[in-house]
Amino acid sequence: MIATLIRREFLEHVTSLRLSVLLIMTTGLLVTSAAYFSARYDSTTTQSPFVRPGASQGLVDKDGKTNLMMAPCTGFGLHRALSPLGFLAGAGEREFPDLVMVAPHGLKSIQRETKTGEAFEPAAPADWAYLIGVILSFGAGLLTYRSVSGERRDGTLAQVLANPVPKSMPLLAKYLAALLALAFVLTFAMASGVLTLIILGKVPLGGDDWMKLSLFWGTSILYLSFFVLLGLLSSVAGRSPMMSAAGFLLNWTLLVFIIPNLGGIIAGFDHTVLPPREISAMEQAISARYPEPPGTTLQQSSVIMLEREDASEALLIQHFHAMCGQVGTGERFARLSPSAVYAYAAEATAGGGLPRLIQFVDNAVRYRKGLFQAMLDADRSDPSSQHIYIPYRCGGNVFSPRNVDLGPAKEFRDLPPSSGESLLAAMWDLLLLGVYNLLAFAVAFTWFLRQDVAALPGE
Amino acid sequence: MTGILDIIRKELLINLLSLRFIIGLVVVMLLIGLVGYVLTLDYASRRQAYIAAAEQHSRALEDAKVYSTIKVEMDIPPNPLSLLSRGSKDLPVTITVSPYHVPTILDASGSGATISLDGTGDLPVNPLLRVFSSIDVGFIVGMIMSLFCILLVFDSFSGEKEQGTLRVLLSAPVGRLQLLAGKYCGALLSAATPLTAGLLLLVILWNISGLVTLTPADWLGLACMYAASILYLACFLALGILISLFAEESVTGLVHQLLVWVVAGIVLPAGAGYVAEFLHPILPETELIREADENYGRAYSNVRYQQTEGSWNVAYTDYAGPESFLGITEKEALNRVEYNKIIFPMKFALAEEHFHIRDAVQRSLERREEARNSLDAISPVAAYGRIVRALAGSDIGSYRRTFAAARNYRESLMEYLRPKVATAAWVTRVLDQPELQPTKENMSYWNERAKKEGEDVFLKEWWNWSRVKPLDLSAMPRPNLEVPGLRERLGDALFPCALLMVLTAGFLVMAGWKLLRYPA
Amino acid sequence: MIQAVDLTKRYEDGNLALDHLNLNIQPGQIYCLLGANGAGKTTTINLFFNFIEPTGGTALINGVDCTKDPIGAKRHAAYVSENVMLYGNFTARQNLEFFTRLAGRRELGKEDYYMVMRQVGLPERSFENRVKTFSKGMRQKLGIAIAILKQAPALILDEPTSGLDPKAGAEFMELLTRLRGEGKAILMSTHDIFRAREVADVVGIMKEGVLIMEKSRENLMYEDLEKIYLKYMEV
Ligand SMILES: Nc1ncnc2c1ncn2[C@@H]1O[C@H](COP(=O)(O)OP(=O)(O)O)[C@@H](O)[C@H]1O
Ligand SMILES: [Mg+2]
Repeated sequence: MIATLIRREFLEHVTSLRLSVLLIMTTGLLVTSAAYFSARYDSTTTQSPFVRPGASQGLVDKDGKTNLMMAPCTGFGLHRALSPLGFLAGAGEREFPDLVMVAPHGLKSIQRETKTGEAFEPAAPADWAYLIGVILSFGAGLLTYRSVSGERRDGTLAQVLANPVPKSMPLLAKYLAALLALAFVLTFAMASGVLTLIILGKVPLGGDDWMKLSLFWGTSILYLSFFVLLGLLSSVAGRSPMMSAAGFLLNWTLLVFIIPNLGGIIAGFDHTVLPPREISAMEQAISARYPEPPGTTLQQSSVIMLEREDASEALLIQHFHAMCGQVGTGERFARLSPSAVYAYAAEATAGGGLPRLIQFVDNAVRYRKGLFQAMLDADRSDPSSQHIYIPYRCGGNVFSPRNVDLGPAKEFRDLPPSSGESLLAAMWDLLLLGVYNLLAFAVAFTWFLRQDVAALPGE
Repeated sequence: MTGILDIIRKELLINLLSLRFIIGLVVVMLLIGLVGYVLTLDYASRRQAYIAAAEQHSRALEDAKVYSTIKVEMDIPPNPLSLLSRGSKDLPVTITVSPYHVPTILDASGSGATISLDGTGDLPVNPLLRVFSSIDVGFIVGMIMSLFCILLVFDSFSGEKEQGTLRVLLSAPVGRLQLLAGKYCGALLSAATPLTAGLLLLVILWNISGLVTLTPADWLGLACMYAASILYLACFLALGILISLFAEESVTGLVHQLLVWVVAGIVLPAGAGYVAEFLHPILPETELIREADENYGRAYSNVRYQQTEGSWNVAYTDYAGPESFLGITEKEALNRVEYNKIIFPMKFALAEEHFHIRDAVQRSLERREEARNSLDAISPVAAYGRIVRALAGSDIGSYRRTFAAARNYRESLMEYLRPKVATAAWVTRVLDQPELQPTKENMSYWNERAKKEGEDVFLKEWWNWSRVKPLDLSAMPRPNLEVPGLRERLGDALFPCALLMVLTAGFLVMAGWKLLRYPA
Repeated sequence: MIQAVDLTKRYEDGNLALDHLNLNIQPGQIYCLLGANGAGKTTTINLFFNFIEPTGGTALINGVDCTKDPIGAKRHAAYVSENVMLYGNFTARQNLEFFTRLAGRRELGKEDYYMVMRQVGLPERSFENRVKTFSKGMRQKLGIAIAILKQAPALILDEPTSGLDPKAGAEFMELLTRLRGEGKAILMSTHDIFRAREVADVVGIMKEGVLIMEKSRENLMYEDLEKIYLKYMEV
């Protein structure tokens, strides 16, 4: 029974012009977006000499030997590994810091490496999540806005329901058929995009990436399902196709354009981030807390300085987390819209976003601590050393002058999260999308079931 | 003539009383109010940061002690109109000018992009917030108000036809074109209402808060922006009416208009960006620069330097601290001046070479941008975006001018510095101040003290850089960066404006043509 | 077969569209419901298909309560609406196939559909044309074809002949009598007094939701139905 209904709806979609327009538009954009990413991905990896090797160059002398006397005083850069799936959702990948400057004794700064001609970039390069989020959600409305109100007006709904089918069946069929049609467009467009990537061959897609791509596909379907339901809801609620269309449009604009864009503005009302002047005052207060009274020996001075550095690092991390918290406030507000939820879920899936940034900084700090510990250990094993490390004073360390082997501590490993971790990171957003779906589903169906099948006279 | 006025009045009344108008008005007012408020605060903080930075940078110049290290930081004053359109995120706030660096727009990196503990400023900055796409008044008009326009006119003819009122209208002694003009003007007035109200709200907000003060030129710019926005809305309304004439049914008209909107607002700009990328690949800046540096390094090491006398400090490198250059004898200093006469012109040449590379890269980027612009030229949304950015001075064109001004300034600065830098660098300060030279008398005095107080005394007191007097830079040309003039910005906005006008006129002509053949 | 017991409908706006209607239509009977516009005919028919919920009373088809078991009831009744609107982008055959499958008959082939379409008098060349291009009469005929293929014992039609040309109208009546001969119970609302008189076994006249007259064929034999109709309308 339902198969018959779905078949008819699906046929109607497939033969309609709008689906072809959607298919062409989406495919074209996803393919070009993928190609664009591929070109970029290549240039970013080759242009930055620091991306690949573990960033312990500062400790390595001309002959490639590790020497503690060479410990860099001002810091060296640790680079965030780029996600090969950045084309899925790249806002965080693009806009968040990708470089952490550390010295062996502490975290110095978190920053973005500037890329050639950034100012020339379009304001928001369109990634897949954005394109799908805007165009296919709009398409979901196109496929559904007149389905119920139009059929009620035309009387075909009555004609269908004159048959022994449950009242909810036509709506369910419409839902599934529209979703199926969109899934077809999505799958085709995504497959074309991925194929483009494979043909261009510059972005290495590994086994885990396929899992993530499937996860992204599923997330997209969940997202589109919401907009199909929203379209059906508008079409149930609107008395005429025109009212339905206007209703859908209004909601769509609100959800896709207005709410997600207000995130940054709402975040501005979160005042947890302190002004720079206060932060530097706090840092000065730390220096005051660890004074070096006259007559301090170099040894004591080293200990005091390292304590001071630890406190500074903690302050910087705290400051960074306050900033993340502020972003979180904006994101929480934006999550009122399924569009934003989808974007964040997609970002988590692609291995980007705020959690990834925090993970990267954590990795960097952990690496820094491990490296420093290894340096201290190596130094301690050298009896000829005076075991004094002085932060900031280049070449001022009275450390072991021997060549040492720091082992694995030298390698900075910052891998993008695995598909399991991605799923975990995206979990809450996926759940939230599910909740939005359920809500829309419940409202659309109860509304429909409580409604008369017959049109008002005069419509 | 009265007929037209009646039609306009009727359209206006019907629109103003409709639900869609009220919803549109409320949404637009709320958005402009909220966004305007936040952007006003943002502008205030940028202005404050500008003032603080400018002060700090001019103070840094006062302490300059060596010609060869003079580096001028030019701060770009924020333009109050950039409130309406923020432009690219990564536009620079300062331009660095030095003998070794010719500024190009490629130096640009967004302000405050680094999270660290040292900073100044009383307002919090969070570089992470750049992850949110920026929404400004230009966006609200460009995307939201264009939708509003579609909602206003999507059924202007098809709806009346469906209701049957069109026949009644046409049976009145009014020409069809008059009817079109009346409907169009009525819609335009209705669409202009929220925009006008929103901008008034913003201006009132600026006046009350006192955070933004506008010069007469700014007011003029604002008026131009208002006019451009009206033109943009007029374009969408004309398009809407045209489609409504072609649609058999109001709903299909609406859907077609929305499709056009999605294509014009999203598909075309995004697609154009991608395609342009392939048409004009950017030059690999880093590689070219590295190559130039290597060539320079080879030439540099070919210049042999013969030390005349032993110096107290071991290393002779350009980059070890300034103290290394104090404590040399007059003879050695003069020897080094000779060396510098060869080396410094090479450094300047390298700076020029870097500039040529960067300039070529910038040109490739500009070509790409031009390609992007011509690819989505047909989209009114893109054209409007270009107009507001140009008028607000937040587009690349304005910054290009600012950088050209900075380069001009560098020329005059170099005129002043070249004779001074090329003949003498750090070492000349030793020639200025004989008390720093290791002459016999000086040596015996300081050795004496070193015996009593320890070796530290040489570095701490004798060759202490703070003993060196600051330079007298009163004759040095000072930087003066200004927001590019309104006339230039208007010039940039002219072409997209003309494009919008042509589009609008084209839509209207087509609508008139269709209306004359419209079956009522 | 088609039965209404004290069937009452009051719309949300307070309009009492149907007031304690009682009907009983036997197999092999044609019942014609007459009444001015807004009398409540469509409301009655909508109640049988549970398109709207009754305020009181019951509608039964083949003894199945149309409110409690709408699906069961709808199994036994076919519906032809006042203005049959089908899926415009589908051909006549596709529409027919779709609705027949919905009715639960999946065993039919193309020829079966063609046969029924011939039977209701659709021109051969229109079988595979899109319904969008059909005139009202053609759509009406297709609606009847749908109803026939459902092979339900009850047939409920809402002003099926409005908009049909005279020839088509006559053919349609022939078809109805044939279906009656097959033992179907037929409820039809109409404005066409003359046709009603020709084919109806029972004629009912409604006014403002009330069935104010009900006469069987025998009783009508020697009376002028038009006069009766106008008389009742005046009161
Ligand atoms: N959905 C509805 N809501 C309110 N009133 C309705 C509705 N449908 C019909 N009516 C009213 O009920 C009355 C009966 O209508 P209807 O059954 O369509 O008449 P008929 O089919 O006999 O012309 C009319 O007065 C009509 O206005
Ligand atoms: Mg009726």
